[in-house]
Amino acid sequence: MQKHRIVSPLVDYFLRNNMMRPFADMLGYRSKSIILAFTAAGTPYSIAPFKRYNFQPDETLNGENALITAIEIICADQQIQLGSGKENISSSVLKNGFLNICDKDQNIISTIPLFNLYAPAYTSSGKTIARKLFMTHWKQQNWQNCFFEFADTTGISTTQGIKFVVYYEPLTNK
Amino acid sequence: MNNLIVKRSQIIECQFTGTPATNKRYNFTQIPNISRNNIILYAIEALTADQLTYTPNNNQVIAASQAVNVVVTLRDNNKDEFMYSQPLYTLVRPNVGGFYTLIKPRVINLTDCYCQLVAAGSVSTNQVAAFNFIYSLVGED
Repeated sequence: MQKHRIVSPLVDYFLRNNMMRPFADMLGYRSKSIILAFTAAGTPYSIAPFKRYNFQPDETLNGENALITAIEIICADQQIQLGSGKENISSSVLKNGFLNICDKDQNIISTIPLFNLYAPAYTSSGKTIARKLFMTHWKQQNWQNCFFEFADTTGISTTQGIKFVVYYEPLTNK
Repeated sequence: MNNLIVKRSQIIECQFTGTPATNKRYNFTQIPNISRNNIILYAIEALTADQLTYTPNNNQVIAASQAVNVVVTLRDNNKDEFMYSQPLYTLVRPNVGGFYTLIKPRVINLTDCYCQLVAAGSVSTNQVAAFNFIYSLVGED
């Protein structure tokens, strides 16, 4: 007897229009780790509320070269040391920050609470939430125009850094 | 299991100006880029201070315990209140297994959308109800 999957018309529409995809952990042909280390006062990555921390230019992550399919933030409970003498931030500070993805004209494509990029299973308000990767369909981004900010820097120090993992599909063979 | 793909997103806020009052309509803060009936909303989540303490505009987000005191109404470009008095609590992802609330994609009129307090509770003046709108632009694939 033939098996039938029951899919709601809305979910079917989402699946056909790049609004939804079956969950899997690795969602790009490639991934890249991006680490930013916080530095002392008076330097580019010093710690201050609402300071824009721009990413270093990376042509391979620009929209003309890559479709970004997911992004994740790694915290101390997953990787305590960042390999550059810096410790990783605690997941408890994520609620104070947000990430802005911008195109080459500085138009904002996405504004995302950093909390949303924390993928592991977590407990909030007494409820356990399963691991969920933040999936995207970004194709117009200019990586060096993207930045994150913290409204409150309590709990962040110059001995720490922050790590993102970007999953992407290269669009060219450059 | 399926997972949502974010094409574009924006943190939207609804500020409780003045003394918080029950049933008063508090409109969303306008964002010029997306206030021209030019976005197709397809998912939404609400944020409390457990997920975001301050919005990009430096407004304090209401505490998680206040989520039960707020309802939200969304209107499309035909003035249809397609989401009417939805409890904010049910739009907070940790309250619903981590899932976004999906919406049949439609052009939204941000100017007409509003929040209401069903009880003033401990919401303070100038705090905000914050939302993350997941959308695509009209005409964009």
